[in-house]
Amino acid sequence: MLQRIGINNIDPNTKIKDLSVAKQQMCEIAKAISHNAALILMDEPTAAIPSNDVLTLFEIIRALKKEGKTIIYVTHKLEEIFEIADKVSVFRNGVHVDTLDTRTTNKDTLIQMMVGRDIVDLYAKEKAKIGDVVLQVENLSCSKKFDNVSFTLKKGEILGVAGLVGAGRSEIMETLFGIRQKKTGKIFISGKEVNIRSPRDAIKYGLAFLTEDRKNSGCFLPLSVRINTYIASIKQHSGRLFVRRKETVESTKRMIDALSIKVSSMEDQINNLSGGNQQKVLVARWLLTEPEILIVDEPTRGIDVGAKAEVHRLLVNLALKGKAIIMISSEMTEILAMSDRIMTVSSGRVTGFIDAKEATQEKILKYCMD
Amino acid sequence: MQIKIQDQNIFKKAMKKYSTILILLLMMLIMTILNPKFLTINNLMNILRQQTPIAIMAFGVNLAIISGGIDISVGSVIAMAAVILAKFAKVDSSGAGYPLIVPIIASLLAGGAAGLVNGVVIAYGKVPPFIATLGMMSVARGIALIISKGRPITGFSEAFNFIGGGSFLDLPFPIYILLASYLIIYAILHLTKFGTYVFAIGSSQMAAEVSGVNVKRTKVLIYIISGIFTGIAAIVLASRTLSGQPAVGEGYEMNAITAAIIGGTSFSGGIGTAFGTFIGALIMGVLTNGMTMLQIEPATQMVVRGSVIILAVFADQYRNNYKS
Repeated sequence: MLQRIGINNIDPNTKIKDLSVAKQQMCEIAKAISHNAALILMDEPTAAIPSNDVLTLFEIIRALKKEGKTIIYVTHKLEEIFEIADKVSVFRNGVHVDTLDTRTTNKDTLIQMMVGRDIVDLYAKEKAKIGDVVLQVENLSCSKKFDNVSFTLKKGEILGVAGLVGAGRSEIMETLFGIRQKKTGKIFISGKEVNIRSPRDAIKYGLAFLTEDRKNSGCFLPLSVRINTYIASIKQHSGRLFVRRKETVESTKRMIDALSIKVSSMEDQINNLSGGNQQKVLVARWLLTEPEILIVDEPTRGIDVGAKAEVHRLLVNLALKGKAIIMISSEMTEILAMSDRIMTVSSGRVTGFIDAKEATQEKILKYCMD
Repeated sequence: MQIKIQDQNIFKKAMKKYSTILILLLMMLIMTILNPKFLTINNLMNILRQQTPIAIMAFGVNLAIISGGIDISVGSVIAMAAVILAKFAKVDSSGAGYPLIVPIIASLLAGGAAGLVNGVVIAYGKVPPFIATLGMMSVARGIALIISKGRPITGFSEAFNFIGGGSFLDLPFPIYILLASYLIIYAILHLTKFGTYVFAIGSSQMAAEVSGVNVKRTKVLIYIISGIFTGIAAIVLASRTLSGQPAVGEGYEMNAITAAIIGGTSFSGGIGTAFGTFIGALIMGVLTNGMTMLQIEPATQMVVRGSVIILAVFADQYRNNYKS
């Protein structure tokens, strides 16, 4: 079976887990073809395989075409589309844009179709005064996730981080925050080198991290809004052993008012709040730690337009106060409206920095698919 | 007459808060109807005396369950601690022995040591709590048998008579130990930073990690505390029987866990109270005492107790279905 599709260097008796990712992928492809189906769907088949194996795959596809099989090939690598596909369909936001013959179109046209016409900005960023460098990251890497990541961040700046799903943006920030262990790299905060081995260290150095997945790594669902709010700053609200309850009540009330969090009582379970209000509680949690650098990962995902605008306003206000913000987002309008600079990440590498003045959707997308 | 939505919600909240006490009162009512001798001061004091060790153990186990873990070693650890206590509590023929404080500290240290091992294995070894404490269940029982050479150790000093059987202000002394234990666990769970960490870890370990909680260190402390409370329970138990018996405690962990669950603690983590566990332990005490008064066979009693825990977990899942 493997030989039939041109793979001669895998012993069928080896366990799948002992193979490299690329070889595993080849086995998956062999498995798909072994079903002798008339229609084969391939979803990002070349994601993990090296270029010579890609050529092998294309040979297989061409052979299958000759046998009369039909193939649907999902990919974001535009060069592959033009090499192997007869027709290409573009989808955007769950809607089919158009289907074209690959011989009569080109890469730029496709990018334009992927980007589409824009909705008006939700909130235009008031430009804050950009100050000194507060964070410097040099050659940060994490095994199998990302490599050679370097960037700087200044006070008052909002650095947007763009990239396709799976590019490694969250992993970079998780490593910066001490959730993941780095393999190589140095981190400097206000010029001083720091060693961040856990979120505890990161918080100590003035970092804050609003994670991408509030249900699993953000909210304490069965607990009250109050506990969810003061948890990250609990040491500032406590003595050696005991929590100073009155202070936690005051701080939480202050945040509820400042962020317009809709809740009937701060003792309510956070699980009962809407997505937008839950997100605001998480923002409140990190604001109470009085960070110098706030990292937000998809801050407005899954929340209504009104709450979205409020979160944007909060972030801009922080920047105006001289705080630095790193914002990971997959929403083009959000990144373009909010960022002073945009860092693009593709397949675990930083592919470019685009200044807000020169940023366009097409440019960003191009770098994200590098 | 229409009940306003707000009033309905308040009723729901009140039900949730007071349902365990209501269950306790209801059970006491039923028992009294079935056998009026149930509701005597003597019998009620008996229930408290019997149930004190279980209740104290339940306080510790409750802590573990709220954090998303479990401690099933407590039934064996109480035997190990009781045996170690007995070794130091023993007086020779001339009446000479260690000062009272020594066997007491020994029991607490024994429980704490077992808890430390549990905690390290769970937090740093990343062994699931059920497996780790299952192993300790066997290890502790074995150590109890080795130290005692398989036989009860008796011959305690006079002081233990008072601890186990004495009274102070008309109440049996063990009740004061129970109350003190309750106040301590209430403070730990509901008033300290550590308590907040326990609830946080039980709700979402990942979120706790990101929020800066030292998850590993907190977990170790949780099992140490559970162990120490088992050590306290061992003191009460050994004082009552004036002996350190290696076979004691079989099935106590079941009783303790059931007490916590009946009291409102959830296996999914992040939910539970000290008071709830206290009432839960009393409910289990009333249940056992009531069944004995109705002359129900011990074997049948086991069936009933087992059914109760299944019902309690069922009710728990129905109550706390916030985790989809």
